[in-house]
Amino acid sequence: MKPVQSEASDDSSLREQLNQLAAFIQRALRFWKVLAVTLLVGAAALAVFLYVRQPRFRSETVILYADKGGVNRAPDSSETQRGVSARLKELVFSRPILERIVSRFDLYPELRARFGMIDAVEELKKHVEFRAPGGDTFSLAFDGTSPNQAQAATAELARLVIDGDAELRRTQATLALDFLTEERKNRDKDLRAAEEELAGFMAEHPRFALDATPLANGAAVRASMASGKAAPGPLPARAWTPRRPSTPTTAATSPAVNDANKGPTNHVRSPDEARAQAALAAAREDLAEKLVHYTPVHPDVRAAQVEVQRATERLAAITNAEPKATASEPATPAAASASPAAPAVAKAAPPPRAWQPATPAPARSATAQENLVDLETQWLKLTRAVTEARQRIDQIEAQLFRADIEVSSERGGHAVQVSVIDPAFLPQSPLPPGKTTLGLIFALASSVLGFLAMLLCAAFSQRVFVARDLAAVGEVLVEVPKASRRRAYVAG
Amino acid sequence: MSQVEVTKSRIIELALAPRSITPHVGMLGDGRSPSNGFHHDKVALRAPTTVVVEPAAPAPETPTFEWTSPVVIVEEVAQLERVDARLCMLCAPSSSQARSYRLLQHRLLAKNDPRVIAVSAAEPGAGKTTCAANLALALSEGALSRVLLVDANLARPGLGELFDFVPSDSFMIKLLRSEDCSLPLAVASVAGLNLQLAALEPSVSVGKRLDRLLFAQAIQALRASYDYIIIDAASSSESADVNDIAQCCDGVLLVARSGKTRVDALRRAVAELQPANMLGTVLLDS
Repeated sequence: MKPVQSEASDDSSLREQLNQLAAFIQRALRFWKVLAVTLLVGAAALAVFLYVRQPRFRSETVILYADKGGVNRAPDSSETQRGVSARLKELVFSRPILERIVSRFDLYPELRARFGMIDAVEELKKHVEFRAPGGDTFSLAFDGTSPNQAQAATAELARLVIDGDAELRRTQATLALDFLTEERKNRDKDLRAAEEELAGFMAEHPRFALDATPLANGAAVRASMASGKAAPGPLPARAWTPRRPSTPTTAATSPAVNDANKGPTNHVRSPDEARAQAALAAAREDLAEKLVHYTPVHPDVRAAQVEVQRATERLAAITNAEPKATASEPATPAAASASPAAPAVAKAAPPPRAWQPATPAPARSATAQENLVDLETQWLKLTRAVTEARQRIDQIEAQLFRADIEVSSERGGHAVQVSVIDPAFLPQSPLPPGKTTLGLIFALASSVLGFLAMLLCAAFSQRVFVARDLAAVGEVLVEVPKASRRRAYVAG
Repeated sequence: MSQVEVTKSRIIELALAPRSITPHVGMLGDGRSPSNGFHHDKVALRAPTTVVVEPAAPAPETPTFEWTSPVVIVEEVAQLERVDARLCMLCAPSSSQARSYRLLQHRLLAKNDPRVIAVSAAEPGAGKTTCAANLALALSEGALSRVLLVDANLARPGLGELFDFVPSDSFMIKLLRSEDCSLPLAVASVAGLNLQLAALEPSVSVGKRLDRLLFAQAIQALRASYDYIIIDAASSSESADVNDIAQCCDGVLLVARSGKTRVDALRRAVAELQPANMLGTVLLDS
């Protein structure tokens, strides 16, 4: 029995809810006057709107932007397209162009009179549309208050944009050319200075002229030194300023370098001694190079140490066999140890002694080797500077060439073809929405508002409509229905 | 307001021609002969158009009775030449509206059968006069019923207009004019109906205040002469007379009009009429 009662109660509850809903709808329908008033208000608002609203006419033009593949174009066409689209859009909405449109066609006189040209331009922006559908075409549209105005303003806007774009491209090309020309002058100066510096160095050290390659490593110089051939004397060139005059290396070693350079010409060495010195220098260099990469216990390092010891013994034997008359000037140990350009050689060299009345042959050989490394370093720097300066000039020359062509193309009008392929047309009908659509919109809006107002009135109204509304007041003895229209008519 | 116009001659024809009418001549206390007594004949009203409100069938033989009262004197007769459409008990006796008033009569019987009933409302325009008149007509349908309809709405008296006559001499007018209100009390009779009226003339009642004691004495005196006394009172928002009237009544009937009366006004009226016996509410135009 309980389920049956439950179903019955559910049905009655549902029926009760439906009855309440129907009663509420009936109650809402009693406020039909609210809906009627809302519709009347909507109709009045529509009439006022149609009377106040000015019809808008739209004219449109299509611009073809054909890039003929200038030498300075980006290889990616999509990037170029985006750039052109952005540039044209900025041109369309640029204030000078829009101000000219506003002034020429006397647009928005009230706005100009009240707020000035800036607000008129802002208003014009709302009525100008720029579209880049893709490809090489762009469309420009303008909404005017009359067909003629819309057509003329659209055509003028397109003309101004095309002219502005051409002027902009010409200006950019000219600026690029000017910049590259100036840059080339500066690079020429740099190259000239580097070459002068290199020339001064070579005049001072003519042995480096043996290296014909641009990035000479000094092998030919070493060979010439090893062969003991006298190098040609210093050229009477202009004075050469060292690159790092503040470093103690140059100051300290200058006499030594000079002495080393003068060495072969001032005192005569035997060929065996020269060979022994060269072999000792090569062995030390090999040892220093290996010490950089390996530990002292490495077999290669030990072999190099043995080789250095042998070369040293050989040189000592040759030196001892020769008479002591060839005693040279005292070497400067500080100069040898202060050379930062050859730390490995200095490390491999024997520790300096406090003072020696006569420089032995191994010390003299080490000093000459350090001087050679320093000179090679300077030689490399100078040649690299010259090479880099030449490369920069080559690049600038290429860019300058392209920029020159670009300027010539722009001046001749051969770089980009910007033309109007669809002239601005004369609009025949105003822009939608039309009167019918507006009427439907207003009717729909008014109806919705009216129904909402009816529901609100039904929900919040205190008026009595049915006996249910009087339940809170007291017992309703009887409901007297309203007299029918027919009987009322007859009675009247 | 539409009204049915019935010519006087046709009324006379309907009332007198088919049967022998014995107009009751009341023996009044002062020995005067009234111009008209209670009519126990059913009056069939015929509209001037083809649609007949009530068929003009031969009226049944209605019982007559002699009624004498030292309290009442009939000074006027409302001829009902034009029946107001609001009087649905006369215009459309078989309509749903008329049935609703007859149902109201039975509902009142179930509520200890109050004899003196005040009809009021929360706000003017709710239909007090219409409800009171139709209720009185429904109560007067009984052959032996003696019903008095009193217009106590001093702000807007409407019974005279509703029954299409200009009252000139009723005890209510004398009461307002502070004239001699000694017995017998003057009332008006409605031609062909078991209904008497104590109507007011608007020019007399405007700006006047009901004398509570005199009115209570009059109603107390009239209780013995009538089966039912229906008092058309003012709305509670118009006048405070309704409170005095409610004090001398058996119950108060509130009238509400659908789509017009407000619930909060009704609540306020109920609260203001306390401690009167609230019989219930009648909802018009539902």
